[in-house]
Amino acid sequence: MLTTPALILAMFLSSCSTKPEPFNYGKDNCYFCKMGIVDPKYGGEVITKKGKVFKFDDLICMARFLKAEGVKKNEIAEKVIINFEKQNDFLDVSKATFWVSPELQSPMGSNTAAFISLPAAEKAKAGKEGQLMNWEDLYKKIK
Amino acid sequence: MRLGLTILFVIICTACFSNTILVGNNQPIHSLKKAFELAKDKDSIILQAGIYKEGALILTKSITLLGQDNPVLDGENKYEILLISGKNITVKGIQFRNSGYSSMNDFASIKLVDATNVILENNTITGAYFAIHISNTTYATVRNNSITGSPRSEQLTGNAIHLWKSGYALIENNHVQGHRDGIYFEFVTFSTIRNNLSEKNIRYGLHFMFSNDDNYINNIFRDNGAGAAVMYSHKVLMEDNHFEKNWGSSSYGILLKDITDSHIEHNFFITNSVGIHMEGSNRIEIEKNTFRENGWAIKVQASCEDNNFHHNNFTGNSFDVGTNGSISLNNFYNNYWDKYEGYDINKDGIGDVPYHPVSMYSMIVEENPNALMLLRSFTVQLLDKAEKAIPSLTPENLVDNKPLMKSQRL
Repeated sequence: MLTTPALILAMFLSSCSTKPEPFNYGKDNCYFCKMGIVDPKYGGEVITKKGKVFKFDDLICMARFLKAEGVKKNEIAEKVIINFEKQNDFLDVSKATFWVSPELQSPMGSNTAAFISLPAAEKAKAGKEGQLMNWEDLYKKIK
Repeated sequence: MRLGLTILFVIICTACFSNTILVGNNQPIHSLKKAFELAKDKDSIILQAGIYKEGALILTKSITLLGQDNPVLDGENKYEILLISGKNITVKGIQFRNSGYSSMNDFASIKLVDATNVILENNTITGAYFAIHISNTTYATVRNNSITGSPRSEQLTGNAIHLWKSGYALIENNHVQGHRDGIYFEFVTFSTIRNNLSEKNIRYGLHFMFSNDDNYINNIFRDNGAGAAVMYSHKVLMEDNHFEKNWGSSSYGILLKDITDSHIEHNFFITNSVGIHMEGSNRIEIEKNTFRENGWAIKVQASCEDNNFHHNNFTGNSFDVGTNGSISLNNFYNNYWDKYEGYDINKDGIGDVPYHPVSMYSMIVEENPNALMLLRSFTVQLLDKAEKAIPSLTPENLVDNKPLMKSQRL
């Protein structure tokens, strides 16, 4: 007898999850530029408090979506970005370190990779061209 | 007469000074690397049948490299097989297989960097990450190549023919399949893509970004994730192409995003989820195309302006035109619509009452895709008929005032 309410409760709870959703490569499309998502090194998600997930293939699409207020600021639960070094590992944008470089080629030309920490980013950069930034500065720079 | 002789003399002299180097297992030289070292500009190298595992080769001299009886260059899944940089280089009739993969660099079977006047012809490429990768290059010709990808896993495959920051390229008669994008253009200008067959690619048959003044003519895009994505470009000519079987929840024949001043003529859109999906695109002539058995023939988002749709045939599509706005700033005239139910009293071949290609139900589906389930129901047909009599939801000025009574032969 108790199973029905339990089930309903479970459905209710699961529909409210605000966790990032792993990309389904080759099937998912970028919400902003409509391109199919295929490159596992780049991409991000904006998740609303109601649990809707917007997927993006490149940081620049996500930033432009946020700037155009595709969803209102106070409705956003999380903004996450793909870890350049690990497939389907999402990092909170405010905690990630970004490397912007002509050495990189991201799907929509932001040429920006995200890393779990500053040392990780420095290690990947290894003296190559480009600069390391945090989310705030990077977001300001994007038009 | 004397001039003729002089020219002949010059030709003979140059012919004398250019050597041919034979490379093969039974020849004194059996390494291509060695041959590249020995060769001078304008020499030819003939690579005889056999399997060559030479790691990463670099070619910078103006030579012609010819394969005899399909020699194989094997990258052993580790190396970028052939890197070309220079001018006046030809590579012909060679099989490239198993080039390496790198997550950081775009490893390719044949890579062109800073080159000009290069011809890649009659080659076979299998098991590559990127097959042909061209950057900072002008006047590259890629002709009659057969490229087959064998994706280790879906996202670990690159593009078959990839061009970046190049100009005046000619891509023709190639058969590409099983890669991420069949043909990929980014910052490529004044180039032509013609007579290619691009099929079974994971993402797009053709992918175009920031590439102006290009043509693609007489290609077949079949059974790809989506047919062609043409984005952020202007002055693109798309003619005589076939877009077939691009089927899936968000699949289409062509995706046009931010395209201006372009021409889409005499193409065939057959059995696609959406024939043409347009967003932010202006001043495009869309004429003499055939739209047959698509989910939507055309989806025009409200962000599109001044596009002309005329002399197209629309037959057997579930929806002819879909849109998400209530006003339309595009022109439709002289198209043939099989759903048209008007009459032609003066017998001039043009229907006397206008045709509204946007059905009410397509507006509802645009808002709520799940409503598609009820498409063939009686109520929906009733609603559509009522809407035709008294339009309320559908954009009133999205209308063909001069619909054709008979389909045209295209």
